[in-house]
Amino acid sequence: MLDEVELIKRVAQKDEKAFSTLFYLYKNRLFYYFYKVLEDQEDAEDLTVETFLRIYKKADSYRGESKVSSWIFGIARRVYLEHIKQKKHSIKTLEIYESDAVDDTPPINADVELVKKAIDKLSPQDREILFLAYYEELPYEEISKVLNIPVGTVKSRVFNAKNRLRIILKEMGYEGE
Amino acid sequence: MKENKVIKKAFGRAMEEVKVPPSVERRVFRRRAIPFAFPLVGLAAGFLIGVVFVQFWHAGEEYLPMSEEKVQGVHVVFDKDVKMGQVEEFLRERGLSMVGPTQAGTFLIKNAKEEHIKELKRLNYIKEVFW
Repeated sequence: MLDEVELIKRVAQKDEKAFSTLFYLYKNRLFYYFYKVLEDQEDAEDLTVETFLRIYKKADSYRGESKVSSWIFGIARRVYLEHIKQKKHSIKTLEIYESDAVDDTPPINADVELVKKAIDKLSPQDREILFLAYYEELPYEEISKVLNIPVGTVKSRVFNAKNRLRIILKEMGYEGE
Repeated sequence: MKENKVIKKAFGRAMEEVKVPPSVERRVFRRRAIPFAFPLVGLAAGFLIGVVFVQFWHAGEEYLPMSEEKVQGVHVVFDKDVKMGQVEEFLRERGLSMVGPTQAGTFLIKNAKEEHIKELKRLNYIKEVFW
């Protein structure tokens, strides 16, 4: 199987097969991302379609300086922001701590099913940052490019999102180890 | 299990529960195909314009029915005693040919001229002529 960088290069040359492969690699991830950020299935569908069309159109602008997933979620994030702007929704801003948050809290080690349920109860913003950091495994520097926020803010958002996840888990009966 | 693995797995499971509507795939591949459709539509439109132009170009011309345009000649009825082999030989010698008979019993001698018909009459090959 081709690596993702090679796939993007081929998509830039309008290789249909490469685009199909990329589509199947990312369709669930992008749809889930939009669905959980917007909490609206129809909008999630529209934005997923729009993101794929932009990926196809702009594949030649990928310079290989970041992970392919960062580049794709960067596009997704821009599509999302444009959508919000169009709909004139206000983006709920989170309290931003510019300091580097030091995570000395005990690690979350609960049952996967319980964590899944807790994630569902997080705010879309918390879910987004944890999704990018833990599911997509994007480094903080790349998340900062995707979300267009400073790296320090990324760290504090991840820290705060995890704390809120812990609180939800506690409410659900998880005591920690 | 490490924290990052637990959270990643939890997201993975949550994602499995969110089904991507099939319309996403349909829309992505259909809309992406639209730019490629433009040259094809352009070609088709060009062809149609060409056809219309040719129609106008020839608008003043009179067209013969295909049967008349392609097969010109003289319809005749041969004498019942004449042998067709003789007629065919006569026509072949003069670079002519014939088709028939029609339901009315006539033959068409293609590209026949008056002199050919006169000669055929003189030989008593022809019973009737339809000019």
